[in-house]
Amino acid sequence: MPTSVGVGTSESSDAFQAGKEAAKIACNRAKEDFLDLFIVFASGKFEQPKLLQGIKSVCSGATIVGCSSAGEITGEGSAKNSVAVMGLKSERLRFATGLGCGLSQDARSAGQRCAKQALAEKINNRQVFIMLPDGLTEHGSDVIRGIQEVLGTSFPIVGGSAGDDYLFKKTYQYYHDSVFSDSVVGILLGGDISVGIGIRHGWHAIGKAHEVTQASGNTLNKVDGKEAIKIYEDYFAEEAEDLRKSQWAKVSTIYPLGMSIPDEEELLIRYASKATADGSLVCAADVPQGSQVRLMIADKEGVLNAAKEATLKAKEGIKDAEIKAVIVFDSIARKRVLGRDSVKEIEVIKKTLAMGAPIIGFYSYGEQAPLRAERYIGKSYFHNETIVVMCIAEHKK
Amino acid sequence: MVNLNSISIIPIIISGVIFFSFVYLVIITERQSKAREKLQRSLEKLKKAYDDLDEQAKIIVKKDLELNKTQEDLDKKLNSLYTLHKLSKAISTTFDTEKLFAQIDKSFISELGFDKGLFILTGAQGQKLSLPVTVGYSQETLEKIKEVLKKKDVLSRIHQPLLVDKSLSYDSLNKELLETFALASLCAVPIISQEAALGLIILGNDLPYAQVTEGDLEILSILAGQIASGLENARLYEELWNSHQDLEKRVMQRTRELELANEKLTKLDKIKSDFVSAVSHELRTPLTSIKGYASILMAGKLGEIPESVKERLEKVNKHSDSLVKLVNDLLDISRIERGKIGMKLEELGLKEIIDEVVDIITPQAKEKKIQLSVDAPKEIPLCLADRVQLGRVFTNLLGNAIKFTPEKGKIAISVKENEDHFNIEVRDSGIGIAEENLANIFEEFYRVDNAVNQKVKGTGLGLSLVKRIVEAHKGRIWVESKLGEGTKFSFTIPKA
Repeated sequence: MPTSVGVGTSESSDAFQAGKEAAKIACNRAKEDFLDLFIVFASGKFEQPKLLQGIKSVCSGATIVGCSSAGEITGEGSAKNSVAVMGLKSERLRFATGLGCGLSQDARSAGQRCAKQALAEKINNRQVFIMLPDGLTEHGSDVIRGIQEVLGTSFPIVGGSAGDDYLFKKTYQYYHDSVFSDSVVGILLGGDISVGIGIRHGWHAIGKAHEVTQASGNTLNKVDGKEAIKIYEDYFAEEAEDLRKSQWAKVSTIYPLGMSIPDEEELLIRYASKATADGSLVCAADVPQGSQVRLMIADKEGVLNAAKEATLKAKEGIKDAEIKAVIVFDSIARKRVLGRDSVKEIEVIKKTLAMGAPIIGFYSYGEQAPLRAERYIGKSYFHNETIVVMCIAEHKK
Repeated sequence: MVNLNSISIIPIIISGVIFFSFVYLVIITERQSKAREKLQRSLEKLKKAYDDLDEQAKIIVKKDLELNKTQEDLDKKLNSLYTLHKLSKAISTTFDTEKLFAQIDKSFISELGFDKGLFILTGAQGQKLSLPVTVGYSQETLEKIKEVLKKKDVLSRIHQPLLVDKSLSYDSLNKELLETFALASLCAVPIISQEAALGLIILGNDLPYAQVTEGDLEILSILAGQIASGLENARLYEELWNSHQDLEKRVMQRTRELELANEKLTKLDKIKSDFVSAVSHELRTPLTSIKGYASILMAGKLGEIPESVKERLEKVNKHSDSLVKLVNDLLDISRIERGKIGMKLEELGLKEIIDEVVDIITPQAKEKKIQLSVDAPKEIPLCLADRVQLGRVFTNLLGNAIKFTPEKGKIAISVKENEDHFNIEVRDSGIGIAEENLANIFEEFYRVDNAVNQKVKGTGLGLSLVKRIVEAHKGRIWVESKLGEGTKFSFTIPKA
């Protein structure tokens, strides 16, 4: 029996009702009475446990993984304050889930626990690990590191960091019946399926390369021997104080830093979420000392083109298998740059896929994927401002 | 010698080699240093170009930021205008303020680009504080806000659209606004109609990066204008509706009163008719006896009676007659009124009826030397009437005319044919009726107070009976008169 997949959404203000409604629609679209696995992305405004109860009321016993978001994506477009669910049922697809709590205490071991738990269930032909960490953690790289220590550095890991509608206060991770924060939820996919991954950001480097002369973990202290914030002061000709006060989030989202990685051509994007009083920049993931950073700039065309390229790469990865489901992790920064045209990005993905496979995704606070996506082999990194497109496909028999 | 020579030559050769080597070295070094200098210069040039490029990058970045900001503002404005357009369509189609504010929900506010906010209405005199729209506040916070608004007069201090932002000027009012409404930045726009301030719109954002802009303020000013006119329209409509309702209520009340009065009158009228009918019956029987016995006495059947007694008995007979007539008239009126006497309608020649009555009345006219004339077309169609009752109409009208017309006066009867009825006039050159009495003359027992009536007794029922007979024929009767000039009675009788 081939894999059945359906996507449902709801904008109902009642959390239970919204979960129920979305799950029902997903079942109807999948033409199934019961679905085994639900991938859920929802606004943080909902009463989260009720939301999951609503889904369970339709398919009790189904596995739920997911997280809160800063906007939900489906094939119909993007929405705010809604819930989107993708329900799957398959004899070929195998999955196992894991949970790691306490990212703020020890992100690395949380990542390890999450991966170990998923690995404990024996799954043949393991293909990809999807991680959904809290988007407010400053230890994104450590989470990946932890997972890689269990699954191996070249095992493909993709994912998106949970959001909370741009409030930057609290995000949620869904694991079965429960709702967590400061955690990472993971799902290991395998079985008789094919997975394709594409990743692009579409930002261009501008200006000189600057050397990171002092850094620790995700904190960038000195660049070219000067305070890290000097980069922004220089390029925007504004005092650090003014930048911090008025438009820091905007500037650092639209103009992130690009970081060179050994043996990798493409620059890895680092979004500096905070500019501290001593002139350091706190990034969403690690920036190693000695690496070169450059200011990055984007235009709508480049951003849309990146979505196209990422989708093409994901499509290449599955060769001639039939796409059953598409999962998209899309940075909130891209939505910001695209503005009113953000709907075009989803259209570009659909057009490039050129088939009506169900799509689910969300606007994330960070993305995880291998940098070089060819054959999706390569070390996974923590990204910002990036779009990750993942296709789950099935060979025709 | 040779050796010596050869020996002495060696140092010369060596020094020559050294010299030339030195010269060569000097030349090479010179060249190298020139090349290095050149390289250095190129390097410096390159570095300068690199720095220039970086400087240009800075310009590009700055321009790009500006562009981004403009784009964002434009996007926001477009969104807002679109949203506003939708709202104004809704506002123009409703006079209901509740419906108006129901349009302004969470999605509307977020489409305008705000996280939180509320609309405060104060009423025209500032007497009623209400929050018809609230988005993003808990009930508890709203209660607190209401308290603050009641305590401190925030509203009256805002006369024009106000942009409040922590990074902008931060005076006491601004600080108070941000604290009261728990926002990082906000727009405060008063809703002002032509007459008075109606309320205030507060919309803003929690997040420091999503600051409100001048553009937001412009959009909200338009919104406030629309809401003000929407409220004004609703108010006018309500006023109109209220006064309409009030009027309707009053009309209904008045109608009810009239209905009650009418019911009462109908009841009274029936009592009166019943009374008159009953009394008349009770009077008629003894009257007939009185008349009977008087006749027997007068005929001398019970023995001769002296002349003086006979004279008295004749008076008894005469008075009995007029009493019988009075009772009969009364009975007829009440019967016609109650529909108990049906008109025996038949096709009649109007001229014949008139002639019959004129024949009877002529002696009386002659007595007062009154000239009596009848003016009717020679060939007239038949009318539809009760012979006896129509005769009574003419007898009464002509009787009255003779009674109130002095000697040598004139009485004229005229008949005019109309489409479906005849128009009949009885005109006299009598004493006439005062204007104030005209309206009452058809009432029962009404007698105009004049010299003639004081002399000649009457029942006051004649004209009342006439009116009822005419109306029972589905006709109409009316009177025109001038004191001292005469009276004209007109009535209609349907054609056959």
